[in-house]
Amino acid sequence: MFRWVFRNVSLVGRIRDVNLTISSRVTAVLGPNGSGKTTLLKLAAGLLKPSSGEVLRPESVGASLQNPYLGFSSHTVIEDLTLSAGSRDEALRILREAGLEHLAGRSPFTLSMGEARIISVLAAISWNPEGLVIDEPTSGLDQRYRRWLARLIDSLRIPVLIAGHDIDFAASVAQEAIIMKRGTVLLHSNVDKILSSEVLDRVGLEPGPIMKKALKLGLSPSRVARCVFLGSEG
Amino acid sequence: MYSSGQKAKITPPTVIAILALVLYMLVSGQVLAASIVGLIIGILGGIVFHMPLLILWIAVPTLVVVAVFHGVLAAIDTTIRVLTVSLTASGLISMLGLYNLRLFLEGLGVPPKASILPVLIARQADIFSMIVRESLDSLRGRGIKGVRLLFRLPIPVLVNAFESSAVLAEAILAKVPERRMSTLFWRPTGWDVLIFSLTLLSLYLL
Repeated sequence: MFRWVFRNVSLVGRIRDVNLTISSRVTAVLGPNGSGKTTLLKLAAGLLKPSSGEVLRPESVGASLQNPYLGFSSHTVIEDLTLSAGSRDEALRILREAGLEHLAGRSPFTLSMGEARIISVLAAISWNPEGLVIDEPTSGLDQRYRRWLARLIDSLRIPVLIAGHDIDFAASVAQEAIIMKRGTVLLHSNVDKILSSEVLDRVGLEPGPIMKKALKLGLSPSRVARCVFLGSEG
Repeated sequence: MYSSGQKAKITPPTVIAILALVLYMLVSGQVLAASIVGLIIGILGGIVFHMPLLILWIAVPTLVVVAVFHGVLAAIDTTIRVLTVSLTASGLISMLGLYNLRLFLEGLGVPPKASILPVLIARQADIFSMIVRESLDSLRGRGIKGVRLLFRLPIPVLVNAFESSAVLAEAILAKVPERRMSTLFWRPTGWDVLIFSLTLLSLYLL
């Protein structure tokens, strides 16, 4: 079963001739700056239309983009979440489950980057979309929130696409990864294969110290990452 | 001596003279002549072909709002006038160049920290349109669509604008030198003569 299909997708000046069939539940899109990760995510969410080719995607896709503050439009976090969740009770339930009810009365524009990122992800899933894309999920997050977000993504039952440079985080939640460079897909495979491939080095990406150690010892990097972020080997 | 890091097609006195003439034409009822001059300057300055959306953004709301309160004819007349002024001003500034506009303002005695503002505002236009697109995408990614989307859009855009203004103000205070870089001296170019003649011709022939 597929979650997203890209058939000969090009968007002038951004990506060209992308052919992908994404079937894993969580897929990480990795690559250097300007490689087309955000464009791919926006196409997957239906926020951009390709100039040629076709994108098959879930009917409704939630999106948490690079700047979380640009998605806020109310004076308190609870009012803001209510906009997407449909009711105040539902919004409060989401915040309680996330253990973030203390943020309910705060202005979303005064949140720290980490808190804003988390609220942005909660808003993107609060309207029950059939798929989710998260751009730069760990940007601005400390270790506690990174673990929290990894657990949240792991607990979701919808297909998720994440994009960024944080290889360790990607390895903890994703089953497959896509490496992009200059608007094209260089490699699409399972996370362990990608982490041990020399393509990573070629595009200037580097795993964190724990992943490096795991690779050196011949351990499965994704299992080690799951231990670190989720406290389980999956 | 008037020095410039960016080649100007026309000089500041021409900019002021043409603007004054176009405003005079509009006030004295020569709307057709003024709009032709505005269109020509808009084309020569690259505004008409490079920024059609900007033109629509100015024209459509003006047309709708004035039509509701004063009728269609008044709306068309007002829209033509507004478009003429904006095309003339933006076309002339485009031909003068933002850097040269800054030097001109400094030459007139405007302090460097203030003369850089028009340059920054113009540069911010690109960033502003990017912020609007990103906000739209972020809100759509939260399931907010249709009319709700349009009502909600100004909030993140305005908050971002306020935050950017604060950052810009700090940067201007820290980075812009106190010393002025220009005096008032210009040598007319061929473009000055061409545009000035065109405007005068429109004034007398139409």
